[in-house]
Amino acid sequence: MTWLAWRQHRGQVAVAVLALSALSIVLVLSGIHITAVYRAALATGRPSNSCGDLGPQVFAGDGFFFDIVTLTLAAPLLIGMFWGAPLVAREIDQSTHKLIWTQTVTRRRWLTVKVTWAVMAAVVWGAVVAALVTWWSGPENAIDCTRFYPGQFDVQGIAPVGYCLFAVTLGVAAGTVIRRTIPALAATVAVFAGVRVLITEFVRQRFIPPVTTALPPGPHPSLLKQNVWTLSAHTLVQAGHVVSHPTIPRGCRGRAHFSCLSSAGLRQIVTYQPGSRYWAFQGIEFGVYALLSIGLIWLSFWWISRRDA
Amino acid sequence: MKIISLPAADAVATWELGKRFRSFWALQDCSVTVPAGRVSALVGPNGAGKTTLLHLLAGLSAASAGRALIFGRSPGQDSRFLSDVGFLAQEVPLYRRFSSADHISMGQRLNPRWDGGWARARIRSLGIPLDKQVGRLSGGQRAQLALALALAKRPRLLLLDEPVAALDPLARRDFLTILSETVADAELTVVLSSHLVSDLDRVCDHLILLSASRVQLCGGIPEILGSHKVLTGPREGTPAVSRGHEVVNATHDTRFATLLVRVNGPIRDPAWGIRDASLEEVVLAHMSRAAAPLSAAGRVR
Repeated sequence: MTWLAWRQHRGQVAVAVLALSALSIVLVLSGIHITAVYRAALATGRPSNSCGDLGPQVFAGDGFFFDIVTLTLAAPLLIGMFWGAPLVAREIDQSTHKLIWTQTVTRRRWLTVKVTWAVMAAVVWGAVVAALVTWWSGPENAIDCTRFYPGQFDVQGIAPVGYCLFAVTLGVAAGTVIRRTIPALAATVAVFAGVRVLITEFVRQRFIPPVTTALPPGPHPSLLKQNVWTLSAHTLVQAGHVVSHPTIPRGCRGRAHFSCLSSAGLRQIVTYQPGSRYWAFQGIEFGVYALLSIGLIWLSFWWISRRDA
Repeated sequence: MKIISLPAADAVATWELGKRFRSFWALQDCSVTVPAGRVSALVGPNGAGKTTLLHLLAGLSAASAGRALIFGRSPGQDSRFLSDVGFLAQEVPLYRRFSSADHISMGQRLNPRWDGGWARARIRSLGIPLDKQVGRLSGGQRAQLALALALAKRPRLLLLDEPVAALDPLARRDFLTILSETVADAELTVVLSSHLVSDLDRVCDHLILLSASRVQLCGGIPEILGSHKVLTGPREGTPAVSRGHEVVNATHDTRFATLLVRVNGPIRDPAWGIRDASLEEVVLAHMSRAAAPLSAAGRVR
């Protein structure tokens, strides 16, 4: 069976290896360049972890590479579409399931081998892309301090491996249930995007209850340097009461109005996830998607043993 | 379900087997037996349920009613059953990107009794390149390869769905010869389906006739031929014949009637001329009766 799985999918392996090589070359070369510029900028005496003020100098002209890194958000989807969805659906499309299911191999064993290889491919694919992007983002993380924010969080660390697992098992399940490649592919894209948006926008911030604190109005560089994920910083209070439409006191017009506001007794309610929770959140995010993947694998096996060919 | 004791000699036995797709019964009340070592022709018009029956026997789909046993074993997901049964689907499924040699290697790795040497020799003798991608072979070559793969598995029961449909007459004859040689050499039972019996009566010694989702006839071909006669005689004599025998099909002109009859005992009335029926006549008579169940002859069962 392993021979068959390799013989059937070696083309996909070759394409994946080519794509990874191309991505590696682009990210490694540009990463080396950015790191060098960042080091040089630090050597001129500016403080490290400056959160903001080095950015324009270090990243000038690198917009293309930032776009590529942003595009790796879609990397898990590729493996779900081109490896997961056709895994079973293509066999049914071409009737070859009637050939393979009447050899001396049970459907369960057949699916076990195919899914095992697909899952391993997804993990390798996700891990390599995530490792590259995480390394590449080192200077950006140090300067912008935004790795906990959606967008950066989703392409670094171990979360992308979870997305790849989810995408490939979603593809397999969709193909098994829908039994036709193109509709299964479309369903994979739709469900993957839907679940990712839902969890990123509404669920992730509740993994651990956020910290809420009252701070003087204005920017908080010390907080930013801790790599926090700020969820909201809009509400102003004065003497324990919410100020819905703060009017700037007469004496506070001009550049120094934040300190003026704070001396007038106004406080800003900041809700955030501390930067120290970054890896806990990465772990929870990975776990959520791994659990979803296990459910999808179970669904595929249940379905394939019950449905007729 | 009642306990069924099965004579070991039956390769296929089904009891009231049925398959329903939503509200439509593709196969109903199907009770047939195929003794081991027979080559059975499964014939019937399009949509009669032939493919449905073969899928049930091959374990590709699950029955909605009744049950089937293959060498005493229910079709399902166990390796004893799977290794005993070979199946070739109507679509002639093959991996387009694989070569013939790849398919033979695949069979080697997935089946306990695989005869790869035989398969390679067979493909070579047909002049099919072993290393060419299957997608570039002709339809006839693909059908030959698929048949060779089904035989190389060395199953005890071989189920073939319209195996000769894609072959030209010469290849058809060649394939049927190979099939009868293999049946003689190995202990092989075959069920092969076709629209028409004329393709198959040279190699088949058993017949299952399906029409309108039901079994119309099942048995050894010599027995079927022995019990069917064509009678020619006076038109007004038809009711007398149908009292003692089963009139399967009747054609009348102004004075004479030609009846295809399943006989119960000898026909002594000298008014009737009697001759043997050909298999094709018997099959067509039963098919047309099933297709028009409300005609006068159709009421007689």
